[in-house]
Amino acid sequence: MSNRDITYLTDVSLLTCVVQTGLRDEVLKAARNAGAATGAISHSARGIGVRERLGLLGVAVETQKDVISILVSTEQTDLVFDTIYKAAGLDTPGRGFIYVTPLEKVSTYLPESVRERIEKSG
Amino acid sequence: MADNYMRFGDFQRQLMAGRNEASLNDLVIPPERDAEGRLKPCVPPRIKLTGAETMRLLQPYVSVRFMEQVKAVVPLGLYLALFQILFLRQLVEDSWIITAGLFAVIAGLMFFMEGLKLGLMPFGAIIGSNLPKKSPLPLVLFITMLLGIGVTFAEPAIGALKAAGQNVSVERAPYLYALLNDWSDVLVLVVGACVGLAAVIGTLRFLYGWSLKPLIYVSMFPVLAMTVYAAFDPEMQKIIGLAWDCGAVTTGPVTVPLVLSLGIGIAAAAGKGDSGLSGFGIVTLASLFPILGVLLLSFYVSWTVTPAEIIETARIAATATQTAVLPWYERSPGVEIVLGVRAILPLVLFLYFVFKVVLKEELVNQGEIIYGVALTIIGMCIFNLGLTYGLSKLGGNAGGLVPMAFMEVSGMPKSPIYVYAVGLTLALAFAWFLGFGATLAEPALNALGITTERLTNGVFRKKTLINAVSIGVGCGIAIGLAKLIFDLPLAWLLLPGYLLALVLTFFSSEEFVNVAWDSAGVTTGPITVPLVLAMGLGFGNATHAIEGFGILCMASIGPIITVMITGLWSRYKAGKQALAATETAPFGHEQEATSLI
Repeated sequence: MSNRDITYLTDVSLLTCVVQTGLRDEVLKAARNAGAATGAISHSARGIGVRERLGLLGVAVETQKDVISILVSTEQTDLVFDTIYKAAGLDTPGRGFIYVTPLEKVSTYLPESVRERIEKSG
Repeated sequence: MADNYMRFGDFQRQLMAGRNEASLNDLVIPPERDAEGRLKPCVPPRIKLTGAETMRLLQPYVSVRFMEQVKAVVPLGLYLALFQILFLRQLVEDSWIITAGLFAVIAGLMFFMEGLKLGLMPFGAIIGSNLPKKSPLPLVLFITMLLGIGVTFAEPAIGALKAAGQNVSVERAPYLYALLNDWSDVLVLVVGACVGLAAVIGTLRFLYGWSLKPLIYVSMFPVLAMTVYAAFDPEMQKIIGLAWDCGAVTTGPVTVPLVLSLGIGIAAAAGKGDSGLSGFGIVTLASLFPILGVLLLSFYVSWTVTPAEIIETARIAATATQTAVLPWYERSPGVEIVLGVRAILPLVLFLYFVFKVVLKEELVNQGEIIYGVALTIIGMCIFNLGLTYGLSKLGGNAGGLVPMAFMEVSGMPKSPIYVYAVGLTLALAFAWFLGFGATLAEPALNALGITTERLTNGVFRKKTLINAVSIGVGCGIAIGLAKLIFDLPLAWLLLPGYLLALVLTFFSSEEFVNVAWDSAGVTTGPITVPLVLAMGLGFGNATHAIEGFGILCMASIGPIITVMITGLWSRYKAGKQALAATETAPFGHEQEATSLI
């Protein structure tokens, strides 16, 4: 049975967190604990910029970064944002940064049970 | 919906006390324009950190790297110390010096590895990717060869060989003494040249896609033949252990990544992108060829000097050192520092030369590379100090005390502590667990395990490999110890072992052959090698064996056999399962992006 309808999910924001490699699992765990249960991806990247501006101290900043993108509901955004900020220790120099992007709409496969819930409430 | 509706976000915002907002617009430097209104390139100023901020920046940087080495060194050190205290009822002699020495090993390796990453690896990566594109193949291979010599000198474990040489008795094994003392530089050079040759052949192998099996057959034949020949000569017999151990010493944290990056670069430039197997083989060949080289060198030495001459020179040298005060650079700690500089500097200069003259590249991040090279040299010097005062001493002590468990050792009133059979079992169990534990903790093995799992599509699990290799090393070290206890001729242990390995090679698939032969090389890191070497020599002295070498090479053959047997067994099992067609296909590649659902 295939349903050709598309359900748009609205009120979604994208949290993107750039941290040193090795912190990825901590970030994901913090996000999950704060209720961001689905839609996380991570990729590896190289950071550039701050190393050069720190001079020799720059060697302490790992260039290898993990970029973690997590989809969260707009209502969760601040909670997840704060939790990740603290869990990844982003208040320490050289650890990384995090930002929020508002998203217009998101679509994906929704399980039967979830679709029923939407139909009932809508 | 209900009327008293409150957005969760609003609720959150209520809790947002202590959150400040600042506009990035206020933080950036507005670009300046010149007289004609064009933008001047903006030069961002250096970020200034306060002392406390610098500390917070450096603290995780240092502690992560420090803990990495602590994890490798401390359990082994504790194991040896506890075994002495609990089973042999002996306090560790000079425990403060050894503790300080082990600390030096930890600090030295920490500096060394970080320096290697910052100072030497960038050269390796750029040379590896650019040299094969710019230069003709013979020149590239020639540079690979020279690089092999350079990295061998820079390998931290090589210093352990020299340290081991001081404990060899010149009367009992004159040629061994000569090779490790008078000829030690030549010895390292020969080993280096063999590593270089292995790198060249390994690279050609990637390039033309040769199978590893014939290469193993072809190189094993002369090695085994010469070992047999040496075994019949009463003086040359004593060299076999050293020759085979040299193979295990060579493949460490400098050689493997630098030589591999060049080899893979060459293969990539030839359009043979890195297939799963391209990284393998060099390590295998680099542990086989030095055996041949060292045996040849010892034959050469035996033709040029007689044992009597060596003993005479050694006696003169011994009396000379007693009378004359050595200059600072020949005494500890001066000698360790000189050795450290001498090990690293030639390699750095060579890499720099290739970089500037052959590639005509400019160094980016000069400051960082200089910092890295300096760290490498400092790390090597500290590591050498730690080697002398920590690892070698600890290993030597432990090795000297373990025989107490089952036999009478002169100067030890309470020995033997246990009944012969119990003590012997205890000593062998000690060796087995030492090998097993040290291998289990080896980080290089973990990396090999991941590669293997990917290569075999998950049939051969990472854990299976690590266990197989660790059991192999444990058995190898226990057999090596047994060789010392019963004074078994090493050749008659090596020959059946390697013949069995060759037979297994014949029946195994290409992947397992690659993994198995390489696993022998990766297990011997900069901590295990000195510890096991020193332990063997101390043990050998206590049991009055002629020489204490040969344990390391037994630790190399062990995993080759266990891994291939495990591989054959898992293939047999997989075949049976396929016949029964009960199991679905195992999971495939590890995914790049991890999804969390």
